[in-house]
Amino acid sequence: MDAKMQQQSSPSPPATAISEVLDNDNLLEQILIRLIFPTGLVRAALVCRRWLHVASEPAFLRRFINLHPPRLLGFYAQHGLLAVPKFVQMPDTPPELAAAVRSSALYDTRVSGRFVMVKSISSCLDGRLLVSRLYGYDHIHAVLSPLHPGRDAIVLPRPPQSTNAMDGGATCILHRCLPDGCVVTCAARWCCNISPRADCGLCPHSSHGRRQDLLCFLRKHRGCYVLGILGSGAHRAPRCAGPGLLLEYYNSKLHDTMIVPVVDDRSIARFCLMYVKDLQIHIWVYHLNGGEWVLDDTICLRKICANSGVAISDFHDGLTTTGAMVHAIGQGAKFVFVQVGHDVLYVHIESRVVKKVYSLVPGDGNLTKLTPFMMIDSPVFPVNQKEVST
Amino acid sequence: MASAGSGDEKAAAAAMITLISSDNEKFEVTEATATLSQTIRHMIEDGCTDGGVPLPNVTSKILARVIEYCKKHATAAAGEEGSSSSFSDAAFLEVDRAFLEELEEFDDAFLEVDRATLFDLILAANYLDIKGLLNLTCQKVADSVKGKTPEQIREMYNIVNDLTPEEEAEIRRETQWAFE
Repeated sequence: MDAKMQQQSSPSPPATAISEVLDNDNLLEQILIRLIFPTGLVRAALVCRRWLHVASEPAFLRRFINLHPPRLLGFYAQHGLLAVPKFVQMPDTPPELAAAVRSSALYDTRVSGRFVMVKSISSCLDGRLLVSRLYGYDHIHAVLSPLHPGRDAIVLPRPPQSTNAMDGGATCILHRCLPDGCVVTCAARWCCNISPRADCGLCPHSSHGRRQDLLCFLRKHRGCYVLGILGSGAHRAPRCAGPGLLLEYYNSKLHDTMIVPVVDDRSIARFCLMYVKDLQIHIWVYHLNGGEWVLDDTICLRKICANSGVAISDFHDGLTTTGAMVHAIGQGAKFVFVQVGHDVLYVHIESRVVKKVYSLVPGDGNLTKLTPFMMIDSPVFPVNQKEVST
Repeated sequence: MASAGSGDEKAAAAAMITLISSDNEKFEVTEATATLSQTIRHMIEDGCTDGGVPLPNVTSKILARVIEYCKKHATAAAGEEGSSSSFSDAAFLEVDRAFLEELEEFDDAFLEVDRATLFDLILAANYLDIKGLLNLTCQKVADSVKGKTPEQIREMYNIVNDLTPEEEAEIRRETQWAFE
């Protein structure tokens, strides 16, 4: 129409609008926040100083993580206590994460710097693994970074001996990778923090605010199951009648039930517990301010498998004792790995999408541990490290 | 669709706003269309739209496109309101869904513009504070950067690299997982 005739007399040459947008930090931020993967963000940050500045702003990175939660790259599967965990990639990783997947697949968890021979992986978050190795009668713990193959393992210092532990006198050590990128290991009142780049050091619990609240455990205590949250030095239990009763079915099979804390805004909002019974995933939720366990959801595996076109293998073939079991619950209880017969299924809770991700081969023996491996949530740029330290 | 159209006509009869581009072209639009822009909504609320709204930052070429976007999306908003209040049967929901699909198709076609126009639209959407349009156009730019190397991005948008080789090397070292 008229607009077409005006085209020639457009007052601004094309390049101006582009530079006007890209020189405006707010608009540049609007564009960069829409890059979906941290990979894209890193590449954009390397364009020039302005882009780096916008992309490395801590507030921007927080928004980025909220909008684009980290993806699942794959998982580590371990057969038997002495076997080396092996990395299995998810079937449909987007091309943007191909380099990260390749790095994880090539990474040898057995040898990293002076840390040799992983016994098992205790936890994983933000692209790092917390692993342990048996050394004489002792476990040695270390943090590995499969996405930074050049980095040595960080071996955790041994906490001082203490009698005040979570289960009545014995020294008990809990380890978790935390959402803020730190790894915490707790033994009684001692806490060890490892930030993504910093060295580690031991310090008493109390100096870490509510961080220790993020450590939770489910264990057998005098014949019933207790959910404990490691609070100020002792167990501050939602000592729940709920799961105690709930778990009666599983009296001696604690490993068939999984529990995870769900973190909102950096502190625990609720706990999520899942198990499989009669080919149904039962999801119980304990809201910290609610004080009781509520059956939140049940998912019929037959139905969702049929919808996703996944064939369920015969689950009475003797590979698992219960027919089906939960192996791992994903970050934020968004997904769960369930073994049915000799197949391991990935189930996305909200969308009910199922994927067959792994099949057990008779020679391998039982799958003893499965640890989901998540992509780094947001890049750590050298500049924001400098800004933080000054 | 029919009810959405008549809703728009009713609104048109109620109030018209005149928008004036930087090159002095006048555009008559309904209030429903104009108020997709928060900037204009505030002007209307303050009662300062008599004699037209001058938009010195927006050329007629871009304003015509912006109005095209607002018209379509204002109709969509009116359609949604109608459906929630008067109908709830499955047939109507089906129409609604079809309409949303049509809107998506419209958005896709709307973004088929050259790079300069796209950035002009971003500036206009920002100045007029039209959230949907800003989202749409910024996403398009983000998509254009996707999968590109820093060198390709610089070349595409004519950006000079002012990072020192040492800084660049340090970032690459910390973020090896982002590169092949």
